[in-house]
Amino acid sequence: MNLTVTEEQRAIVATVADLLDAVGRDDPEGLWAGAVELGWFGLGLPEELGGTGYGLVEEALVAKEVGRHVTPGPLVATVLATRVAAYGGEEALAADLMSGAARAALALAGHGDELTLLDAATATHAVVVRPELAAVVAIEACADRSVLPSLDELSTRESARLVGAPIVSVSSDVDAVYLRGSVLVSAVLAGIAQAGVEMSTDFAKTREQFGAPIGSFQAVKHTCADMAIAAAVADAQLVVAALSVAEGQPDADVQVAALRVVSTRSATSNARANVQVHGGMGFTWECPAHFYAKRVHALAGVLGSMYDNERVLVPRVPA
Amino acid sequence: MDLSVSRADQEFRESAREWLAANYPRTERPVEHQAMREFDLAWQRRQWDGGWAGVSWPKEYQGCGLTVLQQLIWFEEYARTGAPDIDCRFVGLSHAGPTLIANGSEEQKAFHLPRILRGDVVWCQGFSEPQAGSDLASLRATAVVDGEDFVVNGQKIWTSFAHVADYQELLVRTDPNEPRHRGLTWMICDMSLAGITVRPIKTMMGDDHFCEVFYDDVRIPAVNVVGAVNDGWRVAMSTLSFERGTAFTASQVQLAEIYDRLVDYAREHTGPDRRRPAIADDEIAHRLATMRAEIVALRSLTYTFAIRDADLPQPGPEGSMVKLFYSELRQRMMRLVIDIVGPGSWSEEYLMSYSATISGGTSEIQRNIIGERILGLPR
Repeated sequence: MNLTVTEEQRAIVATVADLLDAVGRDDPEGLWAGAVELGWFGLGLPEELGGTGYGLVEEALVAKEVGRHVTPGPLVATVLATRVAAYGGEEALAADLMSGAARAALALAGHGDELTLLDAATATHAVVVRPELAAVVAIEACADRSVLPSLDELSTRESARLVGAPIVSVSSDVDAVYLRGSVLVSAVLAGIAQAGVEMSTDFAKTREQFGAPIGSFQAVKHTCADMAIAAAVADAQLVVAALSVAEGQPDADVQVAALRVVSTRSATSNARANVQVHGGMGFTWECPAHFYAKRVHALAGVLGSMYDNERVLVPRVPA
Repeated sequence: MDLSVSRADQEFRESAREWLAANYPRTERPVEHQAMREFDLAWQRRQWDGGWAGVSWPKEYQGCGLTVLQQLIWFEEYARTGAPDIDCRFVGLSHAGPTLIANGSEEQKAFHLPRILRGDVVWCQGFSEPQAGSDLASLRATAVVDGEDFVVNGQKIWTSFAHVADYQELLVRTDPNEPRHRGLTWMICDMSLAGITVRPIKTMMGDDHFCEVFYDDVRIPAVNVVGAVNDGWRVAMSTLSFERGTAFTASQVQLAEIYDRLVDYAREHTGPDRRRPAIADDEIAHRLATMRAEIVALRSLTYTFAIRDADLPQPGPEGSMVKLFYSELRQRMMRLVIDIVGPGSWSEEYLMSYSATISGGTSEIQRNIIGERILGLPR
């Protein structure tokens, strides 16, 4: 068993962080071009399917940076769509998704043919991911699109109806797209938790009140310590859950459900505390703390609700 | 990175499980403390005889010389078997032993380590004082050089099992002119020495394994100093880093065992609506699910830090994160037990959980350590 992040993985993370630091969240097209150039969408795909041949852990570490920088755009969705296309034998579509010629939004399935599309403004395709089956459809197969209010200004939500047939689909026996997606969403949440610790700690070291940095006061110091634990718990479980899916461990579903629960809790509490530690500044638009707090809610229920995950952790008896 | 278990580790786990199942004591553990001591030491001796004592301790001091990962596996299998709690063996095996391995002289190691592993002796801790709890560096017990000895005077408190202990890890002030933590020394105190008085303190559980210890001109040979004179703070911090690292692995597994029993209970017993099983209640199911997620994540956290720190001479400050998360999780767990089961069975484990966030450094002190030593916030 080895759970220590390798030098090579650190280098991948550093490259991604450099891009996200340099481009910024107000330039989504620049970010997309950078992501394509770095080969994000084929990162975890085997080389024989046109990918780079890394694994779910590397994908998760990249997704964590997406959360840490609260990056806009359907990045996770396009990673998943690329897998569906590649494993479903649609090599041309997979290549288009990896090259930036195509872009997939996540489509959350509702009752009947109802869909909720996330970040679909520039999408050419949508990926519908259910526990047992994942499918890619052309965006034209999503009819009656109507923009829904979104708490998170950096992500959009639309209602739609599924009217066309999938271009390609793969069952969970072929590839665990749903579990992988839940790991990647959790990774984004872990990144949000991490950003909270970093922003609050940096601020608490420099902001002075009562003649001292506020981080010297236990009320603030202990809040930061709790944030650090929350982030560390999410990180540790992220790696274990990602490995358990990648290796096909028998308890992978439990590991992922546990990850989703702890990463949601960590991200939620850290994003909130981060606003609080920044005081009046934290309530302003200028301080990015609010983007993190909003993104947590935008991710709630994406690829598995809290209810779904709790049912995996504690199977109920029939009432 | 991988989760795969090496053949050696898998074989180690299987043979540990097999040996434990065949050898753990079936007889009731005595309640009276002297008899409990003999019971616990006999069980330790049995582990020694079986070749299982000190899994990750160096071979040169009669340990097994195996990896930290195998130590974790041993703790897991130990707890899973339902073998007796480490209790009065805790300080020797998880505190004093590792501290001596890291800081002791060759003579000290050669003498004490095999005795701890063999189950010859019980160790206790002498750090806290009535006036020096969280502010440990303000401790007042003094040790003054007189010939070949230090003469110790003062008082220690919250010393578990002092009344049945043979040795104590004793932290005393050897230089009153140095400020706070600079004038302290860590020494091995023989509990049979003249001038030591032990007085039990009754705990909220109603038992009295907890003690005060008084020192009246106790003569401790200078060769019993561990590390250097006036370097005791550093040695004591290494002691605590061992305590906060992997020492609680067995207790973590116990937590998972209690959890499984609790879920069974919630399936088999009626819940708050007096109609359906407790587990059908949304609030209870939600709390149980959150608890399971946190227990799963605690194991990941422990393994992550233990594997990362495996090559270091002592665990880093991240141990404070494990300690804090574990101890508060334990309290939430026992509160959940009491809420579901009611205030009957499990009362002892429930009450004991109150101590988890106080002993070994309070949660407030752990948060200071995390804030200052990990995050670099100003003092």
